[in-house]
Amino acid sequence: MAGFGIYNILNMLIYEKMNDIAILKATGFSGLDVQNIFMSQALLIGFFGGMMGLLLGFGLSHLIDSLPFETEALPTISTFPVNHNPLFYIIGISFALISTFIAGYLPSAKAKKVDPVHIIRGN
Amino acid sequence: MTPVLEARNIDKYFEKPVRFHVLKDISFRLPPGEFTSIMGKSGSGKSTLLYILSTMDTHYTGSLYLKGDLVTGQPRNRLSRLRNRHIGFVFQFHYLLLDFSVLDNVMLPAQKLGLKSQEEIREDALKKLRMLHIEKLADKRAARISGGEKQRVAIARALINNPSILMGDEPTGNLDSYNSENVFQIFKQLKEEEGLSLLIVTHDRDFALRTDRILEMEDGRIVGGN
Repeated sequence: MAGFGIYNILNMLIYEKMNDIAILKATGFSGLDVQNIFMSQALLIGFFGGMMGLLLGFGLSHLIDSLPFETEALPTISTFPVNHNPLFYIIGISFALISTFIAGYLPSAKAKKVDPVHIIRGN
Repeated sequence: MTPVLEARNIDKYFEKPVRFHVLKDISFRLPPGEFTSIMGKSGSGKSTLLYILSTMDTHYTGSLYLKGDLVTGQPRNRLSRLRNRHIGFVFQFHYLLLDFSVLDNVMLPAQKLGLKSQEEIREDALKKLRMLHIEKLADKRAARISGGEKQRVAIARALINNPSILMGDEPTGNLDSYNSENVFQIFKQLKEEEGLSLLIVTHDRDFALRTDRILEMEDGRIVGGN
């Protein structure tokens, strides 16, 4: 879901920044430079979004962990059972980064291909 | 003397909406330090020619030489590099990055080139701004300055890497007569004091008449000044 959001944001952004992309290319930035700018933006969103998700998840899971949970079926347990395996956090952040990478790749590849002559002459 | 720019037998077709022969067998040379203008009616192909000469448009036949080296057929990232290093470009519209300061805008192409330190680039940029009498604008945001000032900033940006040639596509087209004259004087000064070569597309006849040479275009051919 977040991937679609980022895909949309970047698409809009690139559309808005068409003139800026054209001038960067006209003054000697390569297509790859332009693509890198938008990719780094996508990954920044992914990284900070992912981090916020992890912190929120960490806080909430500890809160839930401390809630009382008593049942006769499981006599050894007094609070909600929560698995704090760090692997889940690693999976979480990796998934955030991978999905933003994919979501950023398509629009930024489009920015890479922008023909500056087309934009500049169009105005 | 090696010409700054040489075009040999350049032909170009537009494929859409119908196949159309825009440029027909264009050949000419620009010697260093010359102030040349290209004139012609709209649709005569003058801007199209300029974009080919700027290395941005690569869909043509014939060959283009920059300072004696063949440009035609080079890969795109080589062309970006050539453009960055050797060609300054000023458009009708200023195309500044409006969220950036004037100084940042001017410094950008030099940062891409990456031959100098931040400090040196900053010094160079301030020097260019001083030359164009706009050093007091350096820290302003590009969105906050007037049209005439924007065009001067665009000229400073075009000059930051000390290019071999400055190209302009109607650089005075959006300016009032006072600012047009100002831009013309800047160009003339660059030619006289720095020995810069200039190639300016214009349909302002008064502007063109005061340049060293007018290439007159009609229906995709150079009909005068060659």
